[in-house]
Amino acid sequence: MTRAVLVVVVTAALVGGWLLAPVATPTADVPGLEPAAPAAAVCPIRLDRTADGKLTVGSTQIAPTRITVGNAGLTATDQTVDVDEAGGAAVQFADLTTGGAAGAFVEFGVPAAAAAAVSRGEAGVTGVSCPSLLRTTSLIAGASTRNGESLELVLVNPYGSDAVVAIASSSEIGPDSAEELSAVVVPARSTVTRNLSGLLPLRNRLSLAISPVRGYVHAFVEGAGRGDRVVIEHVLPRNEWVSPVPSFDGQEGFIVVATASPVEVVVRVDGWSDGAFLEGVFAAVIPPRGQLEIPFAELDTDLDIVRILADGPVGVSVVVEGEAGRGATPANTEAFPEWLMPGPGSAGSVAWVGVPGEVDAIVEFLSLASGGESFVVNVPAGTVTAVPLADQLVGYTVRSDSPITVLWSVSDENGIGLGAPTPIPGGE
Amino acid sequence: MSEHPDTDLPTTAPDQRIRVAVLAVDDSGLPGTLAAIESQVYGIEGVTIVDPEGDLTDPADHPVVADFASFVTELGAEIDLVWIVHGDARPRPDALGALVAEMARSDASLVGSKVVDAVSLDRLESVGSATDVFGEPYSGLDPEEVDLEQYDVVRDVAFVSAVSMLVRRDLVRGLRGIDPLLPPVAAGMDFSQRARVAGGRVMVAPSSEVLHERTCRQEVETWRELAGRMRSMLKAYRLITLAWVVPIGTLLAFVDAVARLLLGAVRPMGDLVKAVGWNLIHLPGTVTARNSLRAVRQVGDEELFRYQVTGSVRIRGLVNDVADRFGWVIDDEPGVVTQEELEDEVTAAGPVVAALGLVTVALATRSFWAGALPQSGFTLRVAEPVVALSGFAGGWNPAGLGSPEPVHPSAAVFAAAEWLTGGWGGTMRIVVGLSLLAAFLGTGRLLRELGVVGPSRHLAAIVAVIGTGTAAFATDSDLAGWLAIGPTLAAIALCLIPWPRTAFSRMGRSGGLVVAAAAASAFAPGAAIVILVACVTLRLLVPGVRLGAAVRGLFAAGVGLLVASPYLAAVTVDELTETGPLYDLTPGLGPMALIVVVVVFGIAFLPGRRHRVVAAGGLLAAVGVWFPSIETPRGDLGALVALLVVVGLVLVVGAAIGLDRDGLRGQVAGRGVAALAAAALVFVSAGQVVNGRVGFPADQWTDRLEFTASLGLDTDAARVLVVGPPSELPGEHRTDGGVSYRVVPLSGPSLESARLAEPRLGDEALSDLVSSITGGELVRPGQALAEFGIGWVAVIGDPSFTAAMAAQVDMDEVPVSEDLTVFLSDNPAPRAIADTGVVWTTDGARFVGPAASGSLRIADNAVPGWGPDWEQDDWANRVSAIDGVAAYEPDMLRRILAWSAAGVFVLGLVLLPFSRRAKS
Repeated sequence: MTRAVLVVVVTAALVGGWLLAPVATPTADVPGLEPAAPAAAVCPIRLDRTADGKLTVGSTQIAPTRITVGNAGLTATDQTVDVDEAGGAAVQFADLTTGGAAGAFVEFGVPAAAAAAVSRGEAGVTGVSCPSLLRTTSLIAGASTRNGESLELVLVNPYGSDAVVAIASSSEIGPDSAEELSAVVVPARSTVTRNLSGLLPLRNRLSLAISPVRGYVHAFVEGAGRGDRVVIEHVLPRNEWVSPVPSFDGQEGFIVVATASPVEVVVRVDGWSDGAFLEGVFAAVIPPRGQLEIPFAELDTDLDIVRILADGPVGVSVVVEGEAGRGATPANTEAFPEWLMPGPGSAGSVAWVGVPGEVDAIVEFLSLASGGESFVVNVPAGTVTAVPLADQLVGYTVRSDSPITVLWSVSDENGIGLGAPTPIPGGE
Repeated sequence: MSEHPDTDLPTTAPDQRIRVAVLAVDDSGLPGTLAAIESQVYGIEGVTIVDPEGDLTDPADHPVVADFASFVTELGAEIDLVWIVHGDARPRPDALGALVAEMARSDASLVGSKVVDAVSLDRLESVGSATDVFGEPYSGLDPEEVDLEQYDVVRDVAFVSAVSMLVRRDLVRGLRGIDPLLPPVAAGMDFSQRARVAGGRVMVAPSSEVLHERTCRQEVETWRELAGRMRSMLKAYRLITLAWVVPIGTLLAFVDAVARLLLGAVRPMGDLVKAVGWNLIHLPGTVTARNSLRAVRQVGDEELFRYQVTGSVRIRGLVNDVADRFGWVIDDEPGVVTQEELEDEVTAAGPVVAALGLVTVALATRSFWAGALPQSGFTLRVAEPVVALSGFAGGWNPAGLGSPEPVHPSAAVFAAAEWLTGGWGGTMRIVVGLSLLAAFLGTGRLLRELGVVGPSRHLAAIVAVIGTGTAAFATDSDLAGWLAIGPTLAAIALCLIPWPRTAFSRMGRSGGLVVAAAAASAFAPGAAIVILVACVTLRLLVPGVRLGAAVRGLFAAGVGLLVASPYLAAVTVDELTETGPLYDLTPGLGPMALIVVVVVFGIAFLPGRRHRVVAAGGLLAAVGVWFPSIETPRGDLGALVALLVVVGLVLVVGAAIGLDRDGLRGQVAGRGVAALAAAALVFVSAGQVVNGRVGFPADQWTDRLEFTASLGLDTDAARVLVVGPPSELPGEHRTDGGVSYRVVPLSGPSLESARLAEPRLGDEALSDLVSSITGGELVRPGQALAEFGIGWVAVIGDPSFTAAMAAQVDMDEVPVSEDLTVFLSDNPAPRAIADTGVVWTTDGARFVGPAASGSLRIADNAVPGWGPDWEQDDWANRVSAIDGVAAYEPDMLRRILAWSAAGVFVLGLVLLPFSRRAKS
């Protein structure tokens, strides 16, 4: 009897405990949150006998900004500039580099800040908004390697780790790439260039997809020839883009849409013309990893504002070309009521402000330079207004009572530079 | 019928015609021997002297031959029996008669006499002996044991002394007599074994008493006896037996020789070498002798096994010598071999099981012996013994960003050992070896006290060391917890042994119990409770376990808690249960099913107390199986429960394995099922042999941070931030922002830093910083980490964190290895830096530097105990640099407790030798 009791008690204790024990479930790999981009950006700077320029910083708060330029793994330049109460600061390229192409790493003191680089010289005028860190595949659309043009890919790695990127290109003849670009090593704190006009010559339109294999880079293309220079920065692909259509006398305008998608992407262009919204003014299919050039002239209507909708991620650039020069910049990803617009402000600067909506916008331009002039412009709904900007060296903060889309340009007798401001989500 | 000249006994008319062969030893003793033979009550046919040297003088002109073979050849057909007598023996007048009578009564072929020392007249020399399977003799006699007729029982034995033995003529002819190459004892063993293999019965007749002057033993080297025993074994066993006896026997002999070498005895190793060499030289002769024996072989080796003792006499002797040296009272002294014991223990399985157990454990732990201990999880080296001891005794705990919480006692134990051995590299291996030894001895004695005898005890020891329950300690590589198994089992065994009667023995036993309980609790503080719980459970469930066992268990628990008191006095319940290693206590379906089968069939069918032992073990194991349903087994509480499981399974397996043939057929079958299931558990345990580390993870941290020395020469960095999967990180870790990490010293992870205290200000600040890095918001993490004294970030297999670190500008990525990505900060990252910018260095648990008027920032968690003139500097400490020294003021209560713990342990060591004195 005792044995029976012991058998029951001990067995029940063992089996009961075992059955009640929590079942070990395999822990699934929880994907970590996508890291945010640090409050920093990289500006392409080039200093040679034909070009000089300035790097401008715009910020919503007073904060010191640290600018470093890496060279061959070392930090060649390290200086801190103070953003004043107006929110702007500017540094000449000559203060940052002794010559050649380089990337200036700009660490903002606050998250809501932006930087731009404007270069002027005999060879042409360029304007570029300095991109912050892009951790996934990015796109550069709107370049070209036509006869008489040179095109250089500039890869800037300001970070402490070596980077390897894979670059695929596409042109009017479809996806075509160079073996030399399949794995480009960019050492830490270095800038690496590749001559695309040699590797991929005679492309009327050339788009690039830059995929980080390890580490990260900031990518640009710098074109020269045909009387002007052009710089285009890389952007993250998106499904929707919007942009005012800048118009220069005698210049042709284009939208260039590129994709890194492995499948076809259907693109539709909507627009606003004289205040009216026009849906589906153009539609086309982009082949996998291909690109599409849409001349504004070929659209049935003169559009003031364009909106590009795609069923896959694409990158969009706005390009102007003509006798006066050529310029290109990524379009806006969406309309915002507030923008930081360092960069324009020198002679021949214009802000292109479009209102992609049904309500007129009162747009306020706040100078980023201390003592600079601020002013207000009324922009009718569904139209674009070219706002000449005073020569105030740094740039502006643009505020509106409704979402607007904005580009900026700088131009002189040497050429045209196009740039896009940086939105301030939610305003500051 | 004539009167005998020296006795009142009449000379009997002989039924058997006996020829006496006197093996000449020396001139001086021979006349006495011949006189004693002549005075035998039983008549003889004549005496022949076998004199290989040919230099003896025989006044009586007996026939003399040069060797025993000649004597055998000359034996006439009229002779029935041959009495072989040493030339230094003095048989009592009735000695031959007793031999003849017993031979006739028992139908024996070979009968030996009881041999008593001729000088002391009452000291026993031989009363028949057993051997182990490797040919080592086991007389069962104490060295100076007095003859009180306590062994005067006629019985079968493995061999009898060649000093006086009576053998049938046909047998002596068939065996060609005594091997002339062998020394006396080996010769007797050899002849006896061959006689038994030839189908003869070998017995001892204690009524036949022979005084022996032991002249024959003079100038006989020990190695000759060893060599003789080897030759005897080689001649007697079949080849299939030799196939395993020779390698295992050689291995055991080698282990014994090496161990004795370590104990300071050089001669055993020399003897072993000589004996092996001698046998190699004489191998052709041995083969010839084997072939001769084959012609007369009648029985198999099983007949030899019947009269052999279990285990290895050599190893038992070694263990006893070692135990004696340290004053341990673990296993029985070699006692009297009674008929019952012989019948119980005479089985060939014992040595095989013991050898297999040792080999299994040796293989399962081979990584521990082959190189440095594999460092992973909580198995880490002690980096700075002084810091570890100070941290245990109320000083600063260097783990992470530092804290006043105590260093775990296990780190203090290793630190003390390292300190005592001057940092000798083999220290941890010695500790492991001692713990394993304690596990084997403790298991054996524990089960014996519970009525379990035989080889199952060795199998239970396998389960103790590498079994299913033990695997729980491998979950997070808790070596210290695993090491607690040995002293815990030894302490329980010591509690169960009846309290000795003499004061000295009591002192010695108390010392042993204190040492065992203290060691167990130092490795795992919960062991103190395990000892108490096990003793109480056994007292309640197993008949024969007295109340004293529970009382001693209470005493042991008190000692254990006192030893761990500097630690226990300062930690919270949460820290005991929620920090530290994790233990996987839930067995898989297979092992669980086996455990249940053993428990059910064991309780139902095992005889005597053994079924209660199974029940007690099952209940203890059930606690461990239940526990995970209540709380995650972690930390010291987890170790406690894991130890309960181990003790429980040891009891279950040890009691269940065995071949019980008595009883009804159903009962025997039920016991067989229990034994088979228990054996299967042992087999499952033996699977650890594949791993070679008792299931512990492979080495992950030995020299892994060595790159900091070669690549970081110009840095002042004090710490490394290690990021990776929890299973890859050393010791305890923290998790923030989906990233698991911990801070380790630049010299690498250490045992004293393995366990992290509750997060303090600095830890929280570091947590925020790590989250910022993970979130990709920080461009200059090197600058921020430098505030914590962190100059390196080592990322193990965490691509997301590596990606986050790829977008920063002030830490250089350094290629080290495929699975390790390292980032070196551009910023100086000292742990202590003065206002002047001078970096202060560590000196044990304190910082030293040039005395200055300013202050010193110490990048450890802010705690007021730092000085001089402590101020909080955000989350860190700021002290005056005026003295050139900055130190943490220890907690005096914990320091006193630590000294008390050390004192108790030393007291136990001091008392230990008293048990030896009591025995002597």
